Amino acid sequence: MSTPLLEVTDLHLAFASREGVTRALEGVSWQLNAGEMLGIVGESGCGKSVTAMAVLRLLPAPPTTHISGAIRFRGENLLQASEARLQEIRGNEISMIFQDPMTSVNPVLTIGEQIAEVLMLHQKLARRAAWARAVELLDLVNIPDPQRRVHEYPHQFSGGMRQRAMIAIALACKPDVLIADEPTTALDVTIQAQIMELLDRLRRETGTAIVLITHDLGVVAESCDRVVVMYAGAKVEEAATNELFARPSHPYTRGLLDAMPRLDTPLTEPRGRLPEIPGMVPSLRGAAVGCRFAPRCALAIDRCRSEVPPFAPIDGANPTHRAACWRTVCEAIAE
Amino acid sequence: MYFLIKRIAAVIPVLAVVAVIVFLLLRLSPGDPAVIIAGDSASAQDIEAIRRSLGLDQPLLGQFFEWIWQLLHGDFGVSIFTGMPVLKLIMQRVEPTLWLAALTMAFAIVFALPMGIWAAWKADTWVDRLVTALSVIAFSLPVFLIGYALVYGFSTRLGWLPVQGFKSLADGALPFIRHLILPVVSGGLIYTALLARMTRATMLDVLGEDYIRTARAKGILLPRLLLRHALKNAAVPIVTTIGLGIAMLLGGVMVTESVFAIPGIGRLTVDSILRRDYPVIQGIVLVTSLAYVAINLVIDLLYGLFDPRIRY
Repeated sequence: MSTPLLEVTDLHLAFASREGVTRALEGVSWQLNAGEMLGIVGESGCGKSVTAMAVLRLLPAPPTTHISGAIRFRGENLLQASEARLQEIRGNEISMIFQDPMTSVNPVLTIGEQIAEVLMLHQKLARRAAWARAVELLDLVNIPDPQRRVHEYPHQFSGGMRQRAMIAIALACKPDVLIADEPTTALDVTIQAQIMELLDRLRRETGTAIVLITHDLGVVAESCDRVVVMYAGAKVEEAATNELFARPSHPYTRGLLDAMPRLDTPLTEPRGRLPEIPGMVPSLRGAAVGCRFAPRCALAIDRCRSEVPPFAPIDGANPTHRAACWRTVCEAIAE
Repeated sequence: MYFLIKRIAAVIPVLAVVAVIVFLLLRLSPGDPAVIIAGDSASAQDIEAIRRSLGLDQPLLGQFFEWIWQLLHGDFGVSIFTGMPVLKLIMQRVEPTLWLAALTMAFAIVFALPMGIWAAWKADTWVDRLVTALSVIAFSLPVFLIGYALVYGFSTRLGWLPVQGFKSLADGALPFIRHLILPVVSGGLIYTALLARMTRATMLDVLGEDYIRTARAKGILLPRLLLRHALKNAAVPIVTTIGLGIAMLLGGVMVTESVFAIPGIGRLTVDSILRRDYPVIQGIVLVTSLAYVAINLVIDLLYGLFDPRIRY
C-alpha cells in the first residue's frame, strides 16, 4: 500500500487552565487511506473530537499550550503549515461536519449562501455558478425541492435536513477527507440511519475518505472499514471492524461491547441490567503512570499501575489488530 | 404590513400619556411664567393680568383640554416668552441638532465597531485591554470637560477650529464641518465607548458559537468570518444601542450644545425651562417623544433585516 492519505503520528496535545495542565492526547497515531471509512470510538472526554479539531488546526492557541507529533496530509505536515495554507485546505481538501446541526450552521445566512461561499472561495466559481452548484448539492444530499430550499434559512430546516445541508457544504469542493464528528448523535434514530446511508453512498460515489468520530459502536459496525478505540487521550485498540467485533482484546473495548443491548437474545429470556464499566473517566491532569484504564479494569495487576503497556499486535497471525494491554495482549503472546 | 399599522396605531396612547405627564409635571414644578415675564418691579395686579392673558388662571383641567384641542388642530400654541408659534421655534432649531446627532453617531460607529470587533477577536490580549481601558476613560470623562479641553487645545492654542457656534450647510461645507468637529468628537466619545463595549461583548458571545467553528472549518477568510458570519449575528444588540443613542441625541444634546453655543433643540429646552415657557417645553417633549417612537419602530424593522428568524 502506498502512503496513507492522512496520517496522525504520535500526537501529543495539552491544554493549560488555572487548575493545571490537561494532557488531552498522549501519543495518538492512526492513518486513513484513500476512500476508506475509519471509525474513532470512545466515551466523552477521551480525546476523539480534539483529535479531529487538531487535524484542521481549529483549536484556539490559548488554551492549547503544547502540541507535538505530526499530522501529515498527502505527506505535508499540517502542524507546520501556515495559516494561509490551512485556510486553503479547510473546507476544500479536508472538510468537517459537526455534532449538532442545530447550532453548527449560521442562523442568519441562507443555506445557499453557506454552500456557495465555499465554492466561490476555494473553486473560484462566480456567484451564479456557485448558487447553481449549491442547488445540485442539495439535490445530491436528498433535500426535496432544492430550487426553493436553497434560499431558505436554517430555522426553516429540520434537524436531519440541516445535517444534510452541512454534508452538502462539506462535500461542495469534493474534499479528499471528510471528518465527521458525531454526525448523528443529535439526531433521532431513523434520521441517523438516513444520514449514515447518505455518508456511505457519497463515499462510494465521490471517493472521499471519511473519519467517523462517534461513541456509537452500532454505527461503526455498520459502516466503518477499520476502528480505532480511544480511552483517556490514548489509543487502546485498533483493528478491522469485523475483527474488532469478533475478538475485542482490550478490556475497555470488551466493556464497551458488553454495555450494548443485544437484539439477538429472545424476548422470553429475562433481561437484566446491562453490564457497565465501573468508575469514571480519569482526570487527564498530571502524567500517566501505567495504564490509564487500570483503575477501572477488573483484570488489572500491579504492572498495569506502574508501566504503560505498549501498543502491540494481539497475536502474530494478524499484525493489523493491535491493542495496548499487559494482560490480554502481552500475556497471550508470552504464552 | 399589519405589524406596521399596529405599531403606528400604538403611537397614539404613548403620546397621550406623554402629554398628560409633561403637562402635570410642568404645572407642579415651582416657578410662575407670569412672574418671570413681568420682571422684578411688577405689581401684584400686573402679574395677575399677565396670568389671565396667558390663560393660566383657568382650572388645570380646562388648560389641559384647551392645549389638547389646539394640538389636534396641529397648533402647538405660542411661546409665552417670545410670542412665536412653538412649532416654528422648534423647526428653527432642528437643523443643528439633526446634524449633530447624525454625525456624532456616525463618528461613534466608525470608531466603535472596528474597535469592538477587533477586541473581541483578540480577547484577553493587549489589544482587548487597550480598547477596554480607552472605553472606560472615554465613558468616565464628562462631555463639558472633554469639550473645554478640546476647545482650549484646537481653538484657543492652535487656532485651527472655531471656538463655538454653528454654520448651516447652506453657508458652505467647510465652515459647516469646521464648526461641528469639536462638538461631534466631545459628544461622540461617550457613545464610542458605549458602542465599543457593547460590540465587543456581543461579538465575543457570537465568536464562541458552533457556527463560527464551522465557518473556520470551511476555510472562510478572516474579514468575511468577522463581518458576514459573526457581525450579522451580533447586529441586533448593536443596532439597538445605536438606535437608542440616536434617540437620546435627538432629544437634544444639552451639554454639548451649551458648551459650543449651538442653537439646537437642547439649548431651546434649557432656555425654555429657565423661562417657564410651558407651551414650548410641552411642544419639545411631544416632538421628541414622537422621534423616539419612530426610531424604535425603525430599529424593530431593522431586526428583521439582520435576523431572518424575527418576523412580524
